[in-house]
Amino acid sequence: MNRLLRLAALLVAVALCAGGCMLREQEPADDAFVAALPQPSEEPQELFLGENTSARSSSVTLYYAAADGVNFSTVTRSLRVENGESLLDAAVDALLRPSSDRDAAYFATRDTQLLSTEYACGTATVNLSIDALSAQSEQELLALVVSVGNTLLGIEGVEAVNVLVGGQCVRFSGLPFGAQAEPVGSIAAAYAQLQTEQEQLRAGTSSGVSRWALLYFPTNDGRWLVPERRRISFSGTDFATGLLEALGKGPRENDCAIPVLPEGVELLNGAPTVSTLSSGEHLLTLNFSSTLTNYLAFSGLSVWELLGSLSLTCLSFMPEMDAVRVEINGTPIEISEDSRFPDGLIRRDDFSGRIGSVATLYLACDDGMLTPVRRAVSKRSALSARSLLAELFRYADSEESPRFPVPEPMYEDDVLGVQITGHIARVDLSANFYRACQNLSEQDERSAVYAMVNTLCALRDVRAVRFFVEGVAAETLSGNIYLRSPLLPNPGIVADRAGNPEG
Amino acid sequence: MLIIAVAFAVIGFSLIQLVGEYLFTQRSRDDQRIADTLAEQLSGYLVAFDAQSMYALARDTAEAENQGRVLVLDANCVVQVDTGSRLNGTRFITREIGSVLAGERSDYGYYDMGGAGAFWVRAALTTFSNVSAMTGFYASGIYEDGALVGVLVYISHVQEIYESLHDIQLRILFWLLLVAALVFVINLFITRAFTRPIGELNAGIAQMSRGDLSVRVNVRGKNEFAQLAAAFNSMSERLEKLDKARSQFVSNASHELKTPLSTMKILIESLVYQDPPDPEMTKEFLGDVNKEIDRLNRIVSDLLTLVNIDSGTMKLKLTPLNISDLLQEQVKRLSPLARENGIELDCTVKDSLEVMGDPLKLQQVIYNVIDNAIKYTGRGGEVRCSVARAGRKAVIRVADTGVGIPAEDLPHIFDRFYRVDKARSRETGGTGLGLSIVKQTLQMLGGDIEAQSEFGKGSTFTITMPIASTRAEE
Repeated sequence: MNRLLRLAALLVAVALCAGGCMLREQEPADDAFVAALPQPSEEPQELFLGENTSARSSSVTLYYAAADGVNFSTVTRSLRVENGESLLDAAVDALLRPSSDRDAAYFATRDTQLLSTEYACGTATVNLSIDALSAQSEQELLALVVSVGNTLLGIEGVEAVNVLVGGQCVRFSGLPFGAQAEPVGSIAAAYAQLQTEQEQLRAGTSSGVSRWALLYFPTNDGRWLVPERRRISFSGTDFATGLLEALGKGPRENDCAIPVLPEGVELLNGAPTVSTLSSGEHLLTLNFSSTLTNYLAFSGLSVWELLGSLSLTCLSFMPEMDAVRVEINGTPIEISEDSRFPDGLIRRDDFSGRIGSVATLYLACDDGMLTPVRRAVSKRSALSARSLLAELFRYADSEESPRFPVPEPMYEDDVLGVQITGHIARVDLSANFYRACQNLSEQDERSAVYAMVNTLCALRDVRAVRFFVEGVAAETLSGNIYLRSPLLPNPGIVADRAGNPEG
Repeated sequence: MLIIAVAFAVIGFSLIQLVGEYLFTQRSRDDQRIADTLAEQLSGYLVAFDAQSMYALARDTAEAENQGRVLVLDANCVVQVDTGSRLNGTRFITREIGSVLAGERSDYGYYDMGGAGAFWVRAALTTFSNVSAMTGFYASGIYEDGALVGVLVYISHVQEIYESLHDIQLRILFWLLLVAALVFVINLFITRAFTRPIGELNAGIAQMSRGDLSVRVNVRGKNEFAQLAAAFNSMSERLEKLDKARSQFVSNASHELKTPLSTMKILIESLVYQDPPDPEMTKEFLGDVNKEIDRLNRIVSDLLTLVNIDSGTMKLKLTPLNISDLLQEQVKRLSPLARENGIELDCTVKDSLEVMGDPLKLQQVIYNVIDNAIKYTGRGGEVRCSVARAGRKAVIRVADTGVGIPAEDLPHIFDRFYRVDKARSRETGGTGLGLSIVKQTLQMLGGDIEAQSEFGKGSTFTITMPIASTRAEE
């Protein structure tokens, strides 16, 4: 009996074990699959220096005034953008060429040309040749301006468009048009609105008219003046005072910009005056009290920053204005003994070279997340992959957070070249950079790579980044992030200022 | 028991497997559908390098679907989108991704993420091991114009299903063991209920085989085992009786045989040591020896008769015969002996009856009974014989007014060598086997004999035989 019991127990145990083994199926991941990882095709060693963006095609919707002169007719075109040319230039150029669409009317004269475009901080300033003023009517000129505005607003990254003609802002129905921040649907409705506003102002029945204006603020590093769009209101023809009040409220969107005028302090000795010079140019004179001098001394703001901010802001909004003269107690203010403006006249071109932009750099926090840091840079640098990397490298070899987690100083020279082809930025890094990254931890390697990828992918033409070292496709920097495939940005690794992941 | 245990184990494991398959199949089907749908939606974004859109869509899907996780891998197996944002830029492959790269549209598996949080250990859904983070892993190919451009991985947490299943497993296991234990106990009782009587019977048989015929087994209930036990007891009881009877028979036979031998030895020794021999005495002694030899001869003849009856070798010649005539013949034969002993012997035939029987044997039976009555009836006594019909039987009564039989001896008078008064019996020349032969002979012929007696007043022996016509009718 005991033998039988033991035998039964043994068989039950064997059955249980067999059942358990049958049900249990744990096994390590098969290394064979790791070996079967697809290998990217070998690329010939190619050393590319400097920065080069290959000709590319971009799809842009062009807004033409319809033949009825009331609405717009849109045409979506694939525009070829050559190396060194911006998409804004290509879009405006295409718009100024006659449309093959029979329904689209071409109001600008055939001689109207694009003189320049500026792109900074999401605002585009388009300067058309004076030929645009030869439009047959004010409404036709409005149609041209709005066509440009609507077209450029359709391009990624453009939030406001300011159209100048011959370097001056245009006037419609006696009122400034300002910057365009939203697409306009109907030309006739927009023009009728402008006329109504003018009549109401003239009759004194309007509480005020509002426009988008571009305010230029100095950056906190004292190098640039960055634009910020702001909705301002005015109830009469004293547009300058409204602009100064808006400037007095300081920057709101750019955290790298600083106020240029004190808020709520009466600085003007009198109302701004507009005069016509013997040359026929229109001059805006701003006569400040000596309080401004005290404010400059107190705030540490330089004179050129003040003058640049005032002139760029006023001349980017006030219609048909050619120059600005800034006085303190009736005397033109001077930048320095060595730098004077003839007759104290400041033109827009005097400071257009100082217009900067804000680039978003992604720097690593201690927890491995990336945090966006806005940094004022030149307009060119904001659009240059190599310059952005150079800006990023300024945060290398730092113990402070946020930083670029490479433990040695890096310079622009460590970016041997950048080639942008088909939305992929091919970045050639130096051997020095590669060597400095050899001992990065997994977290630091990920942070370093995605700091560069996310920063570069903020550029309009870049959607992925491929890294090379001295022209050779490297496997990894320190063993984790695979570099032989184009890397897309990692939005999930970006945290806001409070450290929360952005999405 | 063994079969039941194995059957329970198989049933239990099959049940666990089935439940697990059902739960996880449902879930895997849903999750695979999510992965396939998402792969289709992300195809255009992946080709256009639109990481932001891919991430937003993947994140929304992952959040909507029970906090899952989505990875988007390019054709080089580099993670380009990870809603967990930890695997971006790394090369990632599993068995499921390998299947998709090899041409499968989709594949899935389950992993124990464990504390490491890595896809290192594949896990079976119904495993009994302690899985802390059971994770479903669904890979689906991302195709653009029919070409594989990437792989979408959808990772879902199925720990709660695993834990539910684990709970079910434990319950099934618990009930399985409980039922198995109950079955074991019940089986033990049932087995004991079956084996115990058999064991007792076996022990009884073994004891009996050792010669102990007094053994009896307990009879419980009314089932087949109880009937078997009762039969065994009955058998052993009969065997015991037979054994006793045999012993008694051997003892009696020995004694009966030894008595004339002893007598002869004494007589012969007396003759041998007689000096000088006395012719008269010699003649007398030799006459006594002759008598003892006759006696021995009778005893042996009776014993042979009994042996023939017992062994079934006695041949009967059954013929119809008139038992009334037979009785009258035997009364007539014994009348001189009765007269010699001063006994009145008469015969009354009420019915002329015919029975089937062996004439010689039946004649011997009737003769013995009447002779016996004469022997035990004193001078002046009466022996009355009669034959009559009683229903379908012929009844012969032999009544005497002899010494009678004590009540305690009456049940044994048909036993072999049983003597009520041993001295007198021998004196009358009886062997002690006559009535036994009579009874057994009658029983062979289908009849029987009974005795009623009152000590000191006489005895009545009643012989019954079935009437021949009655047997024919039957």
